[in-house]
Amino acid sequence: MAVTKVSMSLDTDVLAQTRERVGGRGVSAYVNEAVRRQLRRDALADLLAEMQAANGPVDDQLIEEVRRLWPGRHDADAPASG
Amino acid sequence: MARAPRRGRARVRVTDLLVLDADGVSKAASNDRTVQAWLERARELDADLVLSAVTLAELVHGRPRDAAVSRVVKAAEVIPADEQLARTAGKLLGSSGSDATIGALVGATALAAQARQDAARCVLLTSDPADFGALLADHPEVHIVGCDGPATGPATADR
Repeated sequence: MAVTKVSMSLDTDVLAQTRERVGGRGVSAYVNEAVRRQLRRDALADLLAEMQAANGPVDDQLIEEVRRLWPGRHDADAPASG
Repeated sequence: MARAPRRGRARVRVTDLLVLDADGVSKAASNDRTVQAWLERARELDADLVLSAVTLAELVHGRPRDAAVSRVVKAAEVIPADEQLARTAGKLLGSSGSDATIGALVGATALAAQARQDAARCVLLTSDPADFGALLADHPEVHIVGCDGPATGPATADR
């Protein structure tokens, strides 16, 4: 993957916590991965907005069924994690 | 809490993964309501979307429809099918007796994505839960759900 060196400003505490978590050499990789993940999140939000514009919001019964099949980690009926 | 990099480097933590096969992506691209519900759930759980590079080969054919597929792809991490992943896929074919090579590569992608994230839950959304169930019979860490019609497929709680 091509990389470009940039100079950017981070909040001092953000940089300190990042270094604490990943070590001095892992900062770029960690920031890169975090930004990639946020780009995917934003793209998912865009996609869902387009789907909602086309279909309207998801039917309540359908989303409840999906929530049952894919419960939150802290839901009482959450499956043991794999 | 471990803060030292594991397996080379520390990763951004993800707790839930949603893998889409070609049908899942295709349905998302055409605004399918069932897949819309799964994607809404992915957002609720802050799950990461995952695709196999092989899935792109199935769907991106240099045609106008590519644009609709690409807006789905942008929301997902595309995992390449490298040698290690191909070997895993081969083992899935061998142990299941299946000849669904593409399915095995998608299944191996789900396993690889799940293995990178400690204890992440991995849901695989497909219109072919039976085939994936056979390929991944020995891998309950991937929860297979169907995207045909109303939410179908085995409840993850049962797996």
